[in-house]
Amino acid sequence: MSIIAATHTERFIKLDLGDSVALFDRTTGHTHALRQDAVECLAAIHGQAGTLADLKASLTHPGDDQILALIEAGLVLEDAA
Amino acid sequence: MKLKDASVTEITAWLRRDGLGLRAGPFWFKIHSNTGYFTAPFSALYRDYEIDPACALPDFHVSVQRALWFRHVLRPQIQFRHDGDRDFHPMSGPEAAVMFEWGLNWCISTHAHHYLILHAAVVARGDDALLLSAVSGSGKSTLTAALIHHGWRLLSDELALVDLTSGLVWGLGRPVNLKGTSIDVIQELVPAAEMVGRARSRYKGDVALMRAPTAAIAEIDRPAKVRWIIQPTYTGRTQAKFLTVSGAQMLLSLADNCFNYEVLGETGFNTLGRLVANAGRYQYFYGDAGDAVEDFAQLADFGLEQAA
Repeated sequence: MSIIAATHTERFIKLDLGDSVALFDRTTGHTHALRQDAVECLAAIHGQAGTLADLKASLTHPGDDQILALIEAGLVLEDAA
Repeated sequence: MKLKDASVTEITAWLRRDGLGLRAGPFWFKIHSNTGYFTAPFSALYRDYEIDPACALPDFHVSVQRALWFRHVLRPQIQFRHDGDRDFHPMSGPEAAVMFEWGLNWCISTHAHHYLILHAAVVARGDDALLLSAVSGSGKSTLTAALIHHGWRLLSDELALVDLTSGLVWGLGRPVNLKGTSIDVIQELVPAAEMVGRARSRYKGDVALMRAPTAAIAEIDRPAKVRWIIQPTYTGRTQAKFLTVSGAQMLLSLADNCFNYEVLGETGFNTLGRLVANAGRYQYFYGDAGDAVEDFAQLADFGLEQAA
């Protein structure tokens, strides 16, 4: 599973902008920005090769703390398929 | 019929009695006024715009009226109303023209949710648009005023109207709001620029309106596709430079500068995302509006490598 699968949930819309990724949370109406390395980090976390601290360091917006909380709660990284 | 086709007597009578319909981009405004503080600058600024004295179905009913007579005797004041409501503090008589502009911006940005509305200036070369998004005081209007006299056409100085279906940006073609030293900067850079309604504002210092070029008003129904998004910052230093901005970061920044992003929700995200995905995205630091005109022309003609 990757961030692509993770964000193709009913809750999130993922927009790949090439150099970065934007996530729209349908529930809160909030928008989040992730650098490309954050996306890779998310995939790495799933593979036990990264940490949440790595991810937090790669987030680019104060509001992304909410994404972090969602990740910790397992909401973002749930299986889409 | 254009406003310039009517006599001063006719314009004054329409404004005082049944109102005058005026079209700015996709919107019709039915305007009432009983003060010469408004009629004179209005007639100069909007002479090339389409009017309809009857205008049975306007989008907005607005008025610029004198304050109560006893208040007016003490110190001339004017009041902007939308649908008869006074949503704004009164301002001095000489500020009538700028108050009208600010009032129209408020009407559009709080009601026209069939567009994604950004607080941004938009100019275009043919069908390719350059969107200038920045907080107040960064030189957005100064650059807009300079660019539209150097090969770019004006779509809008304050509000970018993004079509939710096509993603194209529609213009309003209204006067450019200038403040403080930017008034003199533009008068020096563009001696032919027509400044109207210069006044001392309690809120923003010296203010003036620059009339939109006639050619831009004639093409106002021609939308454009955003090719470049630029966040200008006036530094006062002479060496200008561009910095590339990531897509997601630009999307967040533009969302902060939207009037109705949260109103539109998912539609707003998709519309703004498409806009950002298809455009070059830059911060631009500059110290001279003339340099910016050259840099933006280079950017449009040859890409970032040839620009600052």
